[in-house]
Amino acid sequence: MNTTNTSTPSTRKIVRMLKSSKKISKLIPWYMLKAKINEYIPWKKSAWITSSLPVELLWGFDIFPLHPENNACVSGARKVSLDLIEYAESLGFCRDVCSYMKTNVGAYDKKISIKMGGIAKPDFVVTAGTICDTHVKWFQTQARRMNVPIYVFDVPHIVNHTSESTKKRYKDYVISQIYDFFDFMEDTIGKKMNEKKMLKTWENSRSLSDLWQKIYEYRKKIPTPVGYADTLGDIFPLVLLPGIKKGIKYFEDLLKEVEDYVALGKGILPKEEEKYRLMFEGIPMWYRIKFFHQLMNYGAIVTYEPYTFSFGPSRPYVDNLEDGLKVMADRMMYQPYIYNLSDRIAYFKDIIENYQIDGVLLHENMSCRPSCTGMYDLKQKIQQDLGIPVLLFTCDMNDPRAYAEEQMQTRIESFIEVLEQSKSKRLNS
Amino acid sequence: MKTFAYFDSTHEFPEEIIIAAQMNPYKILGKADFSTELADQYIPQFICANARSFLNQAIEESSNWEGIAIAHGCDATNRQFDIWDQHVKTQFLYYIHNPLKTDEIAQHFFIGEIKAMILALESHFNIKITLDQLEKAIQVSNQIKILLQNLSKLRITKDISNSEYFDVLKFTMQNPKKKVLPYLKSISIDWLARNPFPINKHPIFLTGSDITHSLWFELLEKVNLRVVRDDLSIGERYFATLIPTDKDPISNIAKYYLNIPRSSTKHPTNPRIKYILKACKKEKIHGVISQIIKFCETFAYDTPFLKSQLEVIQVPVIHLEREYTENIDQQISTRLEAFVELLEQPQ
Amino acid sequence: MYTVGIDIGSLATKIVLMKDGKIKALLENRSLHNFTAIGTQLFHQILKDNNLTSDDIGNIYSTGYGRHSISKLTSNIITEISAHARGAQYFYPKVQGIIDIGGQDSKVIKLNPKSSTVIDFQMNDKCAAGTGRFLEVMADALDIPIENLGNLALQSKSPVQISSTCTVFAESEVIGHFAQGTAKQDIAAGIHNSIAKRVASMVKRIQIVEPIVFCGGVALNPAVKIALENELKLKLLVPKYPQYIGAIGAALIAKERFKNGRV
Repeated sequence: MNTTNTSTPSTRKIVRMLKSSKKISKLIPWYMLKAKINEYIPWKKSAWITSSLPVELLWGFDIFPLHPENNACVSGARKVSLDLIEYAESLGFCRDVCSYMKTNVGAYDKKISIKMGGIAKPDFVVTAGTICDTHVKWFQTQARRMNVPIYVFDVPHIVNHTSESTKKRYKDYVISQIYDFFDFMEDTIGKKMNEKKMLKTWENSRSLSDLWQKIYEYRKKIPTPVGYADTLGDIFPLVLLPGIKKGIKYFEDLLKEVEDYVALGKGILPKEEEKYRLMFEGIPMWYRIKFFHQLMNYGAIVTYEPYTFSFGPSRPYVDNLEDGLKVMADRMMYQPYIYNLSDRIAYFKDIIENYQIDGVLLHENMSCRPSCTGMYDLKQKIQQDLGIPVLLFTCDMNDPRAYAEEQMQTRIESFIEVLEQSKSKRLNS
Repeated sequence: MKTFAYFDSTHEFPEEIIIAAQMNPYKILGKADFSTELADQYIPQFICANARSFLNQAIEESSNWEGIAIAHGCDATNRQFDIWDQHVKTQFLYYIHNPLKTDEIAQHFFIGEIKAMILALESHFNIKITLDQLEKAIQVSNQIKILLQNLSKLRITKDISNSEYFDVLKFTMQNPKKKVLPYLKSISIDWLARNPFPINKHPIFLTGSDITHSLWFELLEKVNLRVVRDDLSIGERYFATLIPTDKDPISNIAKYYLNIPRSSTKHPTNPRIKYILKACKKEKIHGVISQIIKFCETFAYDTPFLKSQLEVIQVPVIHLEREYTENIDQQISTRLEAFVELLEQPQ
Repeated sequence: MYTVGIDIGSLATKIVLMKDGKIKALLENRSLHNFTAIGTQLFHQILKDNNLTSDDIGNIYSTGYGRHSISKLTSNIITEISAHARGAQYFYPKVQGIIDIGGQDSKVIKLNPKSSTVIDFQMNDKCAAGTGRFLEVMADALDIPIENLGNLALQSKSPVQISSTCTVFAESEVIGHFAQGTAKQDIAAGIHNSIAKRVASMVKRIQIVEPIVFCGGVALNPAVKIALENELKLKLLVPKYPQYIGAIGAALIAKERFKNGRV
């Protein structure tokens, strides 16, 4: 991956991001240290959890959450994922299965350091089929290999036209499973839920989401004060630390800086340089984050990602367990990353309008087939109904073998040309 | 008789409800010509071709169907439902969630799902689906399953080709049950009179993704591999267990679908492996063919585990990834022949 | 007794004539998409060269991609897997693993250390990336004759990374490196490392142990052997005539299966 085509404009030396976002480099080691300490204290328990499930579920039991997806993307960003993937393939996991899963198999077996995306053996794993079959199969496989208990949530999918009464039934089903999970925690793991702690966790989590919503709101400004280089790291507290004060402090600093930027009319790119505001759908290519910095060389900046937004949806205030579980069930069932096609189209249209989006990038991610399904229709609707250019490109989030340097370069450059024409046409009309 | 079509990724759709509604439940399995071009406009090529072929058929043939249901099994079912909603012309498109697990919570939920579907059918088609009709539908279904069980057993003792077995199952899943019953009875007479199991054939267990065309079975036949046991949906999964009759029909149906031989799409996965191991121990299975259609992830994840478990009981296994094509795949042919040579070499 | 083994590969057809299990003559030619014609032609030529007629031959076996296409000529067929397993033992009786990289297929075979029978095998997925075809495409992209590719790679001190496993994408990566003025030998070395990685993952899947025979036309290329050895941290044995191992195996099996007539 050490190639840069001569035709590629050189990458800016400084990655443009907020100062506060850089503090993530303190927060992550803090979490890692906690994880490490946790590993060595026998009475402290930890669990692996997937991104479709709220981590509050674990914090409320005083269980330390470990997040294989998060660790896998660390391996991707540290450029060690390929080795791990190839290792998993040598065990017989085929080329076409999820690159996160294979990264996790490699990272666990090879005991790589936590800094490179390594992950410790948990006391149990908990997963759900909300986003994909992979979440279930991956954790099944690893629970078996590590010989630890597993709890699987069966979450029915909300498709086009799912009626309100059906949604209600689905929600009841999910809530019954949450209670069943509590039994599992007590019987199998030997942990009782601490209701007070759970409520406190929800409250903290709500504050965190609220801050996230506010930060996102400011991305509507031209020039945008928050770029993808920021949000990519910023989601970390949302993924792993909802319910933890540390995350809130981090977001407060972030929001403060964003507000200052806005007051001064400052942006990640200066106003005159911010030519194209983009929306990026999918999980980024972690091993090739440079892609997004390169976009900025053309005056194109990613200002909205359903993926990062998904981690911090707004949530109501709750003061009792019953209501809290309902909110949690909602979150487990539906979020932008898994919207059904009609909601997804409506959501995109809404964002394009509100965030003044000039173009949409759709990552057809070979490691996430569910997210790719419907992208052709989505693309067509956006182009047809809004006249906004859409670039759909096939790649992979953690497997660098899928990234074809030259093809990508050509695609970006052509897309920028299309954006230019489209924008001037729109401005003229 | 009116036809009601369904798409399920294994054997998930409770077809008894459709029988009770006096319609013919038709399992969508793609067209004979392996076409996917129409569906390829809407679904990426790196998604399972079975699902693409189903959509393709639906786009072309949905006018022959009164309605369509999609039952959740794998990601393809829920995610592609919306694409069917956009591009398949039909008056009635329904989605039903078949649970991942088998516990009481799941059963209770599935009963609710079935009841909701009954209501939706009643209201759309302006009919009444009575408990009595459901009981009768269960009876018919069980009669068919018993006949298939008996036919299936003949695979071990008689000369019944792979594709004959497949064709019988496909016929059963796509035709009115009134036609199916006499058809299966006549097949029974035919198969009972067959020659004994040919000595040059190797009895094998076939597992993995569902196979929707007989071509692949012919390929196995050509290299002298005879499928005598399997756990496919267009196979034993469809008839290995009977629908219970001890409770009310809806509970019985719900219970049945959660207790059939498990597919890789369900949790946990061990029962699936156990079913295979048990069959291998019970019959004189020479080897196991584990195959997936390219991009069928759920089964792909289980492959290394299955392989390791078969190694423990010393049953040879070959794992293959196949494309969806009407052409004989030369490389797969070679692998299968080599597998046969491996089975035949002196130990 | 004379036996003949014909290995009709996707790119080249190889034929071997053996007398009492010893090599008498070898011949090869491009397959040129007419398996029947090339197989028949080579068969008649090898007979003519050795002053033999068809009646002198005890048994004839064919193997390879086109093994079914000369059924008029042969007594029986055998797959490349069994043929390579047997052929490798001709040179190295104690062989336990075989890596064969041919034109369109590559395979790894694991043998039982006691009985020398095949216990397991792997073949490449449907993609040219781990095969001889990959090297041909890359040599073309670099505009050098395929025979020189290996030696060129051996001169490299800092190989580039070719990360795409898709042949088409890898080709454009190569062109990209070329455009940047990267030295040809470094690109060539990157290409060899890439094919080695691909094949190594198959090897790891069934975990073969030494002694390992490396054969197939690609084994003639010294750089692939070294790259594979580095990747696997194992020593590979390249037999004399590595491209003929399949044909030799077929001829040997032809001899062993002969029982008072062609079988």
